[in-house]
Amino acid sequence: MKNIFYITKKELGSYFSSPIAYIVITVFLVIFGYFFVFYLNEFNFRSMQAMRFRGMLDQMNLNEMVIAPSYANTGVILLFIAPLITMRLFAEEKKSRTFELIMTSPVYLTEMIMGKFLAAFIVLALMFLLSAYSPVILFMVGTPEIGPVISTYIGILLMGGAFIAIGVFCSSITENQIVAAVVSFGILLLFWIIGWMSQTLGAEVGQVLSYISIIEHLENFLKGIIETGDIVYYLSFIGFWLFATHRVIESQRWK
Amino acid sequence: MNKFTKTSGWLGILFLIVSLFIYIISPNKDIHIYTALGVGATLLIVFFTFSRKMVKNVLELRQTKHGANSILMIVIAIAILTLINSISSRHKKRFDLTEAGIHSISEQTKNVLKNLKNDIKITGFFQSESMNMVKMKDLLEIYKNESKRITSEFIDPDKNPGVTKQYGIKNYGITVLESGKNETKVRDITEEAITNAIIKVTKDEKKKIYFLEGHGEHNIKDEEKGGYSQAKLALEGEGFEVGKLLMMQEGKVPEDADLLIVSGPEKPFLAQEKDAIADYLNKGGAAFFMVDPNFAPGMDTFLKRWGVDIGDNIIIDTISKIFGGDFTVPVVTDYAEHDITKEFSLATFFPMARSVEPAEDRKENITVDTLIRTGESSWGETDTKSRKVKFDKGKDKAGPVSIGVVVVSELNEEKTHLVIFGDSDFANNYYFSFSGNGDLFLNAVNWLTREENFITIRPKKRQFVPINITRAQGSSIFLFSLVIMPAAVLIAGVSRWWKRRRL
Repeated sequence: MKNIFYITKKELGSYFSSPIAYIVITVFLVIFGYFFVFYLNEFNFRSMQAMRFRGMLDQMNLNEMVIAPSYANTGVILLFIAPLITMRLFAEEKKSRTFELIMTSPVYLTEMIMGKFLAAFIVLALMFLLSAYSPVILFMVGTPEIGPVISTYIGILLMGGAFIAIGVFCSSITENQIVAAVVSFGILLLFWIIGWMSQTLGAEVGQVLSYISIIEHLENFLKGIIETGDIVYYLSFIGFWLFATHRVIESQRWK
Repeated sequence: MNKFTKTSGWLGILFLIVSLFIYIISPNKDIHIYTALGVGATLLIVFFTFSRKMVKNVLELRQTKHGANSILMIVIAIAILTLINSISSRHKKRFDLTEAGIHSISEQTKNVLKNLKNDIKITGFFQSESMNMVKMKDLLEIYKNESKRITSEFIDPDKNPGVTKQYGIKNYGITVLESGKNETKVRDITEEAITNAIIKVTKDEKKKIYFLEGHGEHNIKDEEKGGYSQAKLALEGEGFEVGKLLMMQEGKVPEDADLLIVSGPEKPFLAQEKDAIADYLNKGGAAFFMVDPNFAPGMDTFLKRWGVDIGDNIIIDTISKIFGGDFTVPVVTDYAEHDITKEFSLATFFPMARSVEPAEDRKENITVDTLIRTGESSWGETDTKSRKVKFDKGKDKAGPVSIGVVVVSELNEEKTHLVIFGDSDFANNYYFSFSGNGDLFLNAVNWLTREENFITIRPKKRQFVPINITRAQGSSIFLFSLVIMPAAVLIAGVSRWWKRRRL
């Protein structure tokens, strides 16, 4: 068990010695910042209108009109960013030939995968933590509800974890980081849009498809609802891709 | 292995994929599917026959064994996860973290859903992805979460005019609930409306509405412009049973009447009829009276007893010309804060109306409220013979004029509910689908036939607190979010890099 901790630590060290982590986080903050300021501005404008016209008062107005869309858009940004974070996890090892070393070390493969996953997850969590200045600002200028904010963070952390799990898998199937990133992006995009088809394909199939859709399960969290079904979905998702990673690397042992 | 074998192998797989493709797209093209399948299978058999040796070697490779093993394990993993997820999606538990609990339903609804014995199919007719559709969808999700007997479907009237016509839907935003042979419609997107509709549609007996006949009232079988066949259809679509009542024959209002509708009587009532109706009302009956100008002599005294003044006038509305109407078709946009009209936003038109107002000298336990009023540009013209249309101060009634009231009388043991309008043509076949006319008619009927155990559910209010960000605040937020935060991270990175360089 402790091995996981060591691996995570080592991996984090690698992350923060190379420019990639810093650049990725910076880019994320810039884009997120843009969305946040934009939605906040909109809300401010609408607030002033509503006070003048009294009609729109409690129609839709709430600070969740700022946090929820900002983080919903974060999902899209994550499609690009998550692969960038995870691409080096296994691919790097293979390239620098340290892979064989790892394969022969006494560390269990499971611990290795968990350690790397955790490291990438921590980078992601750090990114979200840094973006948490946004609800703080909202609390300073208005009165948002704390409940939905909490559920939103739980939601994006779970969804982020799912993104990273796919990234870990893609990193393990190739030694080329670019390939890992691109395939990762492709699979994520597929899971993203698979929900769109649910509209046209009719009731039964449509329901299954929208269940598989990775963005669909974030919706409830953004609204302030924590539903056990969504949690099970994300945990299964993460579990599956990490398991698949394990199988892939195992089979590579025998090459 | 030669080229021929290889090609036949690949072609074999290709044909199998093609057959799958055809199956997905048009499952009934049997011949095509089987042909492709057959060709593919044959090619593959050819392939395997000519490459026996290679296949044997590959199968024995450790790699293949591991590969196959892995694939099997992954398939099993998917199966297990699918099972877990489908169980979890049937037994979900929700935690609503919003302050007002807007994503949860009330205790009352939970009780109704718990005791649900029949399946309910809910079909919403909304424009795709419109705000109302999303609102209704979210609301129904909560219901479906609480009870497995509820299923829902959304149909876009623009994309599916056939089904829409089948259900008799003429506007956007109507939701139909069906349970067994019962059917009812909901217009409001609130928990209250849906829960009460569920109660109504799962009840075995339908409410019975009687249309009075014999004095020239509108005929529910009449399909001409002035008939009420549309109104009858609409009422049946709401889940009511509609019938005629020839009072002169029956002598009294039937026991099973839940509502009596008197629409546009022209001739006077017999004394016995008036007594029969009064008797029915005194025992807690509900009635909807619609009286037109210049008709039904004697009606005014009858209704005076219930605290209502029916004016001897015709409402003239100068603004109707703008709506393409006539002076004599007043338009109403002023609705009272009453359950019948609480979220009413459409205008309604009343061809040839007379004023209906609460009487000044009404009895104590009779509550009379104005429901609908014509606008400021209208007045009640008392001089119906002169050609000139002019407001005569003192003689005519100045606008806004009340042309519809709601009466609740507690004179007797049972409460009596009445709705009285000064016009009956607004709900005839010609005017029923005009703007809000039909809806107003149905709303009034629904209110009058409300269940005794009608559930009142106050909608949960979200707190709205506006924000006011000054220019300075705005700039500093902008600066912080888009410059300072990212820069801080960048600097952290650069300094790390710098430190390493120096080493």
